[in-house]
Amino acid sequence: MSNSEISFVRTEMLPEKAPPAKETGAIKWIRQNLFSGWLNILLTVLSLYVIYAVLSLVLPWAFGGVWNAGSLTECREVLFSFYKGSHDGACWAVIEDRWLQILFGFYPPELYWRPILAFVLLFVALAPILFADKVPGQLMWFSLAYPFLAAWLVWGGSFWLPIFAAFGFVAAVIAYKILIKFAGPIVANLGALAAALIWWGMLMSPISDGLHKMVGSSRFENTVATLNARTDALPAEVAAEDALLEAKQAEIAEAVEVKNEILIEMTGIRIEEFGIEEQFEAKEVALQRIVGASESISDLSDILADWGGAPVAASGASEGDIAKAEAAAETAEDLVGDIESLLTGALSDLADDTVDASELMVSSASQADPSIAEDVSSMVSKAGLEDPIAALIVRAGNVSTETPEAELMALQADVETAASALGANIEALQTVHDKVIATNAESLVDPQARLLDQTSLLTALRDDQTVISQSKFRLETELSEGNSFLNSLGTLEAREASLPGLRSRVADLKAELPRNMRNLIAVNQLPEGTSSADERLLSEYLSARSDVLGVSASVNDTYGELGRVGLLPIDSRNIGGFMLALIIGIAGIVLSLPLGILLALGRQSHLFIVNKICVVFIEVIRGVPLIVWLFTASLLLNYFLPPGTNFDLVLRVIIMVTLFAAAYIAEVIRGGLAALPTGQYEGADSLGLSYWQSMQLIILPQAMKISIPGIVNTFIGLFKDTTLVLFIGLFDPIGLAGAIRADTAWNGIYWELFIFIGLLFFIFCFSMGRYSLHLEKKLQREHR
Amino acid sequence: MSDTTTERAINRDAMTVSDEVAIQITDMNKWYGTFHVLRDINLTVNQGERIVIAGPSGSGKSTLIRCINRLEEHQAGTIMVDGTELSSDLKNIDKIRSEVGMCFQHFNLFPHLTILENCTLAQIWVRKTPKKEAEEIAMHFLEKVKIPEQADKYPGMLSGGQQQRVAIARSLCMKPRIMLFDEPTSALDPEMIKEVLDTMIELAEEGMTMLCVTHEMGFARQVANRVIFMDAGQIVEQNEPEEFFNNPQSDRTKLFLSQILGH
Ligand SMILES: Nc1ncnc2c1ncn2[C@@H]1O[C@H](COP(=O)(O)OP(=O)(O)OP(=O)(O)O)[C@@H](O)[C@H]1O
Ligand SMILES: [Mg+2]
Repeated sequence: MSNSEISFVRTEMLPEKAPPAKETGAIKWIRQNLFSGWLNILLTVLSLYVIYAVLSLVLPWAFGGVWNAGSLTECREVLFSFYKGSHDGACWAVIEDRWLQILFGFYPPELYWRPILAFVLLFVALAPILFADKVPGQLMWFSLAYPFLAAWLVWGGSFWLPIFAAFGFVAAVIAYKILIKFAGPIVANLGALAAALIWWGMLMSPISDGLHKMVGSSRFENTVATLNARTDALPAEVAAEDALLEAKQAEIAEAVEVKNEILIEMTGIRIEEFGIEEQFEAKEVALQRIVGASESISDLSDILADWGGAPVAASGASEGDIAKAEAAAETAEDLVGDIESLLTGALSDLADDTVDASELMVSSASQADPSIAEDVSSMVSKAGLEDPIAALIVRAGNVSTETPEAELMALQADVETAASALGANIEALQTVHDKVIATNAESLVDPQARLLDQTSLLTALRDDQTVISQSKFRLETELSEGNSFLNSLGTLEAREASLPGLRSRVADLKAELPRNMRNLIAVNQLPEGTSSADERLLSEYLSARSDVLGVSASVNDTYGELGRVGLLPIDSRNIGGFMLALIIGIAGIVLSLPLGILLALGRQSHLFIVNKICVVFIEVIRGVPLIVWLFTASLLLNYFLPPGTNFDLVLRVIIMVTLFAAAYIAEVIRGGLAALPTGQYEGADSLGLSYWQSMQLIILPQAMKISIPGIVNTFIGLFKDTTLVLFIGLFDPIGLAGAIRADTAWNGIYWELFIFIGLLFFIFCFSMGRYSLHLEKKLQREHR
Repeated sequence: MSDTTTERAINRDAMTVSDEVAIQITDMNKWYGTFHVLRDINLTVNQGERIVIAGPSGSGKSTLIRCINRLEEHQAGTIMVDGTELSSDLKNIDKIRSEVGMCFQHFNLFPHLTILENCTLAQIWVRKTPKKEAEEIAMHFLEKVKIPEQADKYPGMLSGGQQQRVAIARSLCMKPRIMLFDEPTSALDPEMIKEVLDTMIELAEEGMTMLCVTHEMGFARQVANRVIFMDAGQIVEQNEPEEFFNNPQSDRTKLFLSQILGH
C-alpha cells in the first residue's frame, strides 16, 4: 500500500471557479436546447419558419381588424377603404355587437346582474375547497349553500324554493341520525335516501304551493289594483319609447348617409386608380394573344421549312408517309387560321377597353405629382396600338401554306414589334398606376379618419338603439304579461271554485267504471271487445281527470306568480351561451366527483351485487356516446317520469352529463386505488378504522392525489362537451354563433365568432389545468 | 443470522405472565383457494406472554398472525381474542382490531400524514379522543420510542428504523392489550434493527402481550418466554427459548436452527 506511485495527499484545497462563459446563461440554453445537433437545428429552423408563416398570416388579419361596424358589409367597406381588398382583416365588430349574447344567451339584459353575482360568489364558494389552507374553514358552510343560492339567482322564483330544495339533504341527514340508532348503516342510508325522495317528490311542492297561495290570497286585491294601474300607464310608456326609437333610427339613417358620402368621396379620389386597373386585364390578355400569334407563325414556318413548302407526299410513298404528310398539312392549315384569329381577338380585347390610356383623366393625382401628367402624355394613344394590329390582321389574312418563308419572317417580326409596343404601354401604365396610388394614399388619409369616426359614431348610435328597443320590448312584455295575468286573476276564483265539482265528477266516473279499467291511462289500452258504452265512459273519465290536473296546475301557477316572494323566474330556454356551458360544466364537475368516487369504490367492493351494478353502470355509460345520452335526456326521460312532472331540460342535461363524467372519473380513481400498496389498507384496518373511515382518511386522499391529472383531464373534457347540448336545442355558445350568423347583418362570418368562443373555453380549461399542476406540486412538496 | 443482543441486562420484573387468557386459537384451519396454509392450529396465549414465532419462509407465520386481527379470514376453528370470538360481525372485528396493535415488515405508515397525525388518527376516529388529548398521548409514545422531534415530519423523510418505531408508537397510542409483530426488522439495516429491537424489549419489560414473527434469535432468547416453530402450516414445536435453542426435539427444527445459527 505504501507505494509512492499511488499514494497521494492533497496539500491545498482548490478554489471555486466560475464555469466557462459558453456554458452559462442564455447562450448555453440556446445551444443545448435549440442547436445541439443537426436534427435539432433542422427542427428549430423548420418550426421557426412555420411559426413565422402562421403569424405573418394571422397577426395582420387579427390586428388589422375592424371593431366598429354594424354589419359584415360595413366591415368590408371599411376594410376596402383602407386596403382595397389587397388584404383581409378580421371583423371583430361582430364580437363587439354580440358578446353579451354569446355570454348570456337570451337572458333578459336587465337581469344580467343575477348570473354575474352567482359567478362572483362561485369563487367565494370555491375558495375553501381549492385553497383549503389559506381560507377560514367556516366558509365551507357557504360552499355547501352555494349551489342552491346560485340556482335561485339564475332561475329565480320564491326565496324559499332553494331552502326547500336544500332541506331534502337535511331531511336525509336527520333520518340517518335517527335510524342509525336502531338499525344498521344500510337501513339508515336507505332511510335517508327515502326521506330525501319523499320530501322532494311529495312534500316540497304542496308546501311551496300552499305558501304561494297564502301569500297570494293576501295580495290579491292589491295586485289587481297595481296591475290595472300599470297596464293603463304602460301603453303611453311604450309609445314614448317608440318615439325615442324612431328618433334614434332617423339619427342612424342620417349617420349612414354621411358614411356613404365619405365612401363616395373616397371612390371619387380613387376613380383613376380603378380606371387604370380596368385596363390592365384587357391589355394583358391582348398581349398574350399577340405573343401566341407570333409563336404560331414560327411553328408554321418550321413545318414549311421541314417539308420544303406545303406538305405533300411524294408519289409512290408508303402508307405511313402519306399519313404523316396529311397530318402535317392539317396542322399547317390550323396554324394559318390561328394566326388570324388570335390577332383579331387581341384587337377586339383592346376595343373592349373603352378608355384610351393616353387620355386618362389623371387630373387630381397629377396635381399632386406633375410627373404623372408627363408619363401619361408620353404614352402611345389607343389608335397607336390598334392600327398596327389591324394592318397585321389584313396581312395575316393573306397567309397560306404557300406563303414564302421570307414573307412569314417579316410578318413575325412585325407581330413582335406590336407585342413589344403593347408591353411597353402596359409598363408605362403600371408606373402611372403606382404613382397614382402613392398620391391617392395621401389624399385618402383624411376621409379614412373621418370614416372611422363615423363608424364608431354609428356603433354608439346603434348601441343606444339597442338599449331603447330592449326597454321597449321589456315594457311591451310587461304589458302583455300584465294583461294576461289580469285575465288569469280574473278567472282564478272561478277556476278554484270549479275544482271540487270536477273532482267529484272524476270520482263518480271512476265508480261507474268497471274495476279492471280504473288504472288504464289511454282508451287504446282497452281489451278488444269492450262495449262502446264502457269505452265512452273511460274516455270521459280520462278527460275529466286531465281537466282536474290541468285546472289545478293552472290555479297553482297563478298563485305561484301572485304569491312569489323573490326573483323573477327565468325560463330555461332563455339560459344560454357561455353561461349555460358554465352552469352545466360546473354542476357536472361538482356532482360527478363524489359519484365517481362512489362508483370506483363500488367497483372495488367485495359485495357482489354492488360490484356488478357499478361495473355495468360504468361500462354502459362509457360505451355510449354522450350525444345519445343527451338525446335520451331531452326526449326519452319524459316517458320514465310520472305524467305531469315538469322536469327542467337543463337539469336533465346536468344529470346526464354528471353520470357520463362520473363513469370516467370512476375509472380514473380506480387506477389511483389500484396504485396504492395493500399495506395502506392493512395499516388502516389494523388500527380498527371502519371501511368508510379508512377510505375517507387513508385511501382516497392518496388515490385522489395520484388521480389528479386524470380527474382534471376528465373535467376539461366534460366542460368542452357541454357544447353538445346544441343538438338538443339548447343555445350553447356554438348554437348562438349559428343564430348570430343567421342574422342578415352577420351572415357569412365565422372565424371571429369561433375564435372568441374558443378563447373563452380556453381560458377556463387552461386555468383548470394550471390549478391541477399547482395542486400536484403542492402535494408533492408536502408528502415527500 | 447474527445475534443482535442488547448489552444491558433485561429487567424481567414486570414480565410476569398472568393466568388470564389473551388469545385462544382452537383447531384453526385456513385455505387460500385449495391451498391449505394453516392446519389445525391450537395456541393459547396468556396475558403478558411474549411469543416468538419462527420458521422457514412460506410456512404460514404471517398468515397465522394476520388471522389474529382478521386481516385474513380463517375457514375453520375458532379464534378468541380477549374473550371475543372473531366472526364476520363487523362490529366485533373493529373492536378487536382496536385492542390488538400490529407492526408490519414494511411499516405501512400513511405517507400523506405527518408522524403526529399518523399517531393521532385512529385515536380521534376510533376512540373518539379529543384532538388535544390524542396529541398528548401521541407525543408521550413518540418520546417513548425516542423520536418526539420528528413529530411534524412526513414518514418519507424518516429512516427505516425511525419509521418502524413510529409504527410501533402508532399502535401503542391505541393502548392495545396485545401487540403483533410481523418481521418488524427484516427490512432494516443492522444499525436500525438494534433501535427497533430496543424499543420492543422495553415494551416487553412493561409486560405487554406480544406475538412476534422474527428471525432475531438473540431477541427470542432474551425476551421470549415461548418460541413456536412452524413449518408447512403447522406448529411443529414449541418450547421455552433455552430448551428450544439448546435442545430442539424435531429434525425439522434442528435443520432450521442449524441453518439460521450455523454461520
Ligand atoms: N393471498 C394469498 N393467496 C394465495 N396464497 C398465499 C397468499 N398469501 C400467502 N400465500 C401462501 O401462503 C403460504 C404462507 O404464506 P406466509 O406469508 O404466511 O408465509 P411466511 O411464513 O410468513 O413466510 P415469510 O417468512 O417468507 O414471510 C405461502 O406459501 C404463500 O405462498
Ligand atoms: Mg411473512
